[in-house]
Amino acid sequence: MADQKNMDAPLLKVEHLKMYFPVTKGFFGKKVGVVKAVDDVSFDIRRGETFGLVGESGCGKTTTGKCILRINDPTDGNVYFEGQEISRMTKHEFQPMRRKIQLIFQDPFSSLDPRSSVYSILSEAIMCDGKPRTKEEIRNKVNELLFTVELNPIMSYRFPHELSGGQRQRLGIARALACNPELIVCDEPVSALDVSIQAQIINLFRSIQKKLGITYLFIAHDLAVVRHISDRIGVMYLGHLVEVTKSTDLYHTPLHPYTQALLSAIPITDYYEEKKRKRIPLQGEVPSPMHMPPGCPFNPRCPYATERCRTEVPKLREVMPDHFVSCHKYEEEKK
Amino acid sequence: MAKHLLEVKDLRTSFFTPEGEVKSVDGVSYYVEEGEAIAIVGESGCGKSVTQMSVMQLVQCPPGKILSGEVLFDGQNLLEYKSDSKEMRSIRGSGISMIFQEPMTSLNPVLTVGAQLCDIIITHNPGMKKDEAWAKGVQALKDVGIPEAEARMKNYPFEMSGGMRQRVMIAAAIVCGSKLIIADEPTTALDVTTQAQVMDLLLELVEKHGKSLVIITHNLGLVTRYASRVYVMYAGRIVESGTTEQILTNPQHPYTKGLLNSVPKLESNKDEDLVPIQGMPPILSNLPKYCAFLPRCPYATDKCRESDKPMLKDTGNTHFSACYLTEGQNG
Repeated sequence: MADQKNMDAPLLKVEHLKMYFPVTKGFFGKKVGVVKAVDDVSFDIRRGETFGLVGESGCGKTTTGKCILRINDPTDGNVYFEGQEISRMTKHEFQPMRRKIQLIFQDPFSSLDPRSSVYSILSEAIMCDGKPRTKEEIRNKVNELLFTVELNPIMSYRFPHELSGGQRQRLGIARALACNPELIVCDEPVSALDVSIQAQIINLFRSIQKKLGITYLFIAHDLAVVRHISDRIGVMYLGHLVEVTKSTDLYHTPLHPYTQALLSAIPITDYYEEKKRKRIPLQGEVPSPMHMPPGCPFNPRCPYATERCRTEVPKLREVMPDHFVSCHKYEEEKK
Repeated sequence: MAKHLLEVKDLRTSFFTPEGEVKSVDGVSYYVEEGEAIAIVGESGCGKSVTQMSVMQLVQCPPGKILSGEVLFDGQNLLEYKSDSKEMRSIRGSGISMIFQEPMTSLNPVLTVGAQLCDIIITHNPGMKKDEAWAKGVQALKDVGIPEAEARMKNYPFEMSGGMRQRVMIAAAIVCGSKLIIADEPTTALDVTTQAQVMDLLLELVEKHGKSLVIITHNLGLVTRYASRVYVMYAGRIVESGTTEQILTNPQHPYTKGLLNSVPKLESNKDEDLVPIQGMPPILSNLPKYCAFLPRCPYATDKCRESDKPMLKDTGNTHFSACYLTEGQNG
């Protein structure tokens, strides 16, 4: 298995990933229920591409990212990285993989040690591979990283609190790049930033990818941002992946009723286009993941729900080239 | 022409900090007509929230101080009243209501929603019976689309979802019958589908009940869909104002142009790179004498560097812009 390493094989393959959290009550921790944060999610990420994961809060997009990083150990399912199954590895076996999969957080302030200077934050990340290095080599590498993320080398003497939000996020990116990763999981990396700074960071992500060929898993709730940066997008709802498609197709041909409603809920800045758009109002709220509706998770809010949707969970299937959707509607049409 | 419900003239609010005077609101003028929804757009720290806090006289003093200006609401100048005066207290709530970004911090966590609503209703209708107030509260929750309103009245805020809490805040705003609702980033903490529901509800209040709405936001998409006029703020000043159509289809000020170019667009071709505004937002305690946007402006000329801050000038059809470059066009 591990030997088939050609360039066409996906860098990361997630198969039937499940992450259930038990809900306990009382002093003895009696199990009273289970939260299905991620339920049977499968997708793959090709080398050098950006895969976006979108959804509303509580849909399981962050948990999916955490399972890939082994911050959470998945209940069931497999994660293959470069053909190797990583979700069942021991901590010791996983150690060398951790350098290849890095993480960028939403809040750049709480993810940086307030008592370390920029230089020590970066040098610590550089040295984590345990190779002997001279002081000068480290200094050069720090400067190189700062150059990549377009920060002035003078910044290396500063502390996180002296940096602005945008600069801190650049530092977060530099730290993730320090150990030459193959895949970076970006969890809401721009949602805490102002519009004008957000654009700078998005452009930086793209230029780094062009230069270093890094693969991103980009998790965010802002569909416009995700669509801009991603090659392919997966839409999640209540722990399920409901649609996976090329980002160019997402706006014009969304297939899943939830994706259609989600897109129509987002106002766009093109004035004349916005006035022409049709709205698909969604009734009610997202159900609690503790009390999942039977059948398709979207059926209580879906305008097209039928009897079958209320009993049978639809499977993710390819309805158009490179366009996967999990909805009974498209299955029937095909027949 | 409809009546101006709120008219703010040359409002100045500063904060006196150890680093010096921070001019958060530096000569802001705007108005809201009856039954109109306007938006104030800007990035964090541009003074858009402090402007509204000054209107309500909720600026903490010290360090903040409203220095000068006029706030005309329904014919009265609110700045003539003291912040803790009886007049001001009655205007807050029955005249102007405010809805904040994070509803959890505006609701009392140890009281039920019903108790809080009744409290508001009785304060604004002295002498009303408790069960009467309760019934009014239930009706208000029904009006904002909360299912099982009677049962929900007995809930504590933490038992509700974010969208539901924001609806309770809107209910609190409508029970006192206020004419103007100021919504400060009302949907930033909410998911997109919930955001659409809450905004539709606010717009319904404007369109069906003739209330006025001020939306403070950084989200240009919300502006397109929900506001009829827009004010763009930068470094404590309004740099551009006009109808939504004018601002979004024909922006004049370089900052507005930059803002529009730096937003990723859902509908456009994704291969275009974003054009971010260079540099960083200015530090308000140390503003230059010239135009505050100059260090980031790609079109800056010598005239901009040598002159004082540009004033808002009409570029035609009540589309105002505070920039020397746009001044000459209609000259």
